[in-house]
Amino acid sequence: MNKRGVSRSLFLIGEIVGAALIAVLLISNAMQWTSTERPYKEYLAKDIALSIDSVFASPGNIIVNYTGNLTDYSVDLTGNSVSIYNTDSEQSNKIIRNFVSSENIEVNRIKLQKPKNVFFTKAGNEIFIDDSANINPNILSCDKLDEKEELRDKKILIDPGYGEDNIEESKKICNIGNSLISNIPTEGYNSLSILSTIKFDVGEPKSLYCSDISESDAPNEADVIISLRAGEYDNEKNNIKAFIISGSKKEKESRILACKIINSILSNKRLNDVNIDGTSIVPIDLETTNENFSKELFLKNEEKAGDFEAADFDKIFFLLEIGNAESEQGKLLLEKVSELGSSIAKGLIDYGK
Amino acid sequence: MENKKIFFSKRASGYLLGKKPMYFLAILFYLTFAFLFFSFFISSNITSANTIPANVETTVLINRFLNSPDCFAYMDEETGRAYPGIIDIKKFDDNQIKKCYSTIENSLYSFRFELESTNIGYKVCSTPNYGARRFNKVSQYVLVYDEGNIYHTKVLISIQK
Repeated sequence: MNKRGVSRSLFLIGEIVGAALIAVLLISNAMQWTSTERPYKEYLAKDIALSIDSVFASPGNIIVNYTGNLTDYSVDLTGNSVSIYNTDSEQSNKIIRNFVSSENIEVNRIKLQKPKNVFFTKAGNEIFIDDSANINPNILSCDKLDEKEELRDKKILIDPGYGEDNIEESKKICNIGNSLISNIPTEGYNSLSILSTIKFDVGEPKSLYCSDISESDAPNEADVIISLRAGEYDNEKNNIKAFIISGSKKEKESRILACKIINSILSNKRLNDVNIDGTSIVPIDLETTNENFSKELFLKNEEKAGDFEAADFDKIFFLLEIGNAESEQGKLLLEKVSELGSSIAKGLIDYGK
Repeated sequence: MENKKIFFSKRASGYLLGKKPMYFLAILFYLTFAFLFFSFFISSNITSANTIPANVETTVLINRFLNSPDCFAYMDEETGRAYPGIIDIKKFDDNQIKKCYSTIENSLYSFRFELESTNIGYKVCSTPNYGARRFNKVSQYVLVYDEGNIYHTKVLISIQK
């Protein structure tokens, strides 16, 4: 047996295998680099990152219909970057590009697979990417609390009004208040700390006595006051408004809570069939408005209405006007008792998170 | 030595390389070099073909500073309406910039803003990643809101990559 010959043959085979390996590596890498797909993916990632940077620059709510063709790719949006890739199994070919995030604006993490349409939306304090523009453009931009404060340990007064003028509407508002009361104990709120300007029904669980609305005897020693009313305007506009007391000690907190609650109502998909024309938070001067506001709500013991000073008022307060009861859409909105109650409760819980 | 490839040399107590392995080593070195060179060449070509002009990117980012109420833009607290292009002098500081321009990523552009007018004096603020490096300077006319008054002035913006 020729040992040298065997050794030479093996060495030759090794050389051929090595050369083939290098050739395959070179060709596959060259193919990968020169593929027309890669530059396009690179372009898409950069373009989307820049588009999101532009959305951040928008002073208000905005919906952008992105016209780039993404039907063959998946898009993954995270807090400060966008990734483009073909399929989940090909994550190694991901192209990632960063955009500049902002402390006050949250980017919703989402993954779109082969979307036919892409929309970038800035609504309130959030930026979304979705394959449809189903975000409500009326969503408000809420400020952030200076210090984290939960309402769990606070006394919350629900004021659904007494319904002197319109008993039917008042009962609806009372039922919305009841739905709110039934939703918050599940989030750790103590039902004993829920107060109301109208009498509670006897028995458990705690609920407002809506069949025969009458004024409560309980003193209003609350930290948070939520007044609920239906708007009555002689037109077809159906707006949601929150009135807060201008110049009060807790004006900022009141604005933030009202903002969270309005946004929660607008984001409730079960209310999508009702048209809400607009939303606003209106600061009011109590000296010039008294029809809708029962001043007794704000007065300390033995204080007279004329003595009320907004600067001394230290409660979180807002009056939520839920739609226009004179309009068709407003009537429809007021029928959605449980949806409205759960939305208000969600806004209350979101405050401080 | 002609036909020798690699063998153990008893005399020198070491390995000797023949011509053929030397040839393959040279080829391997050459191919690796060629591969790296072309990979770099192609990738830089792809990158440059997709490069967004620098001024487009910086304009978008400058717009954020001047138009967004999360940055310098004045917002009426009562109505919640934002006024793009009007700088609220109370917001014109480093803290506000930190809130609206997160610089966790080091490769981001850095900015320095200077405002000067007889009414408001000289004010300057910059992003946390702004340092002693080469910069380009641009200027833009803006309105400045200060205690209920609006002044017309120019903001000088230094940009670093």
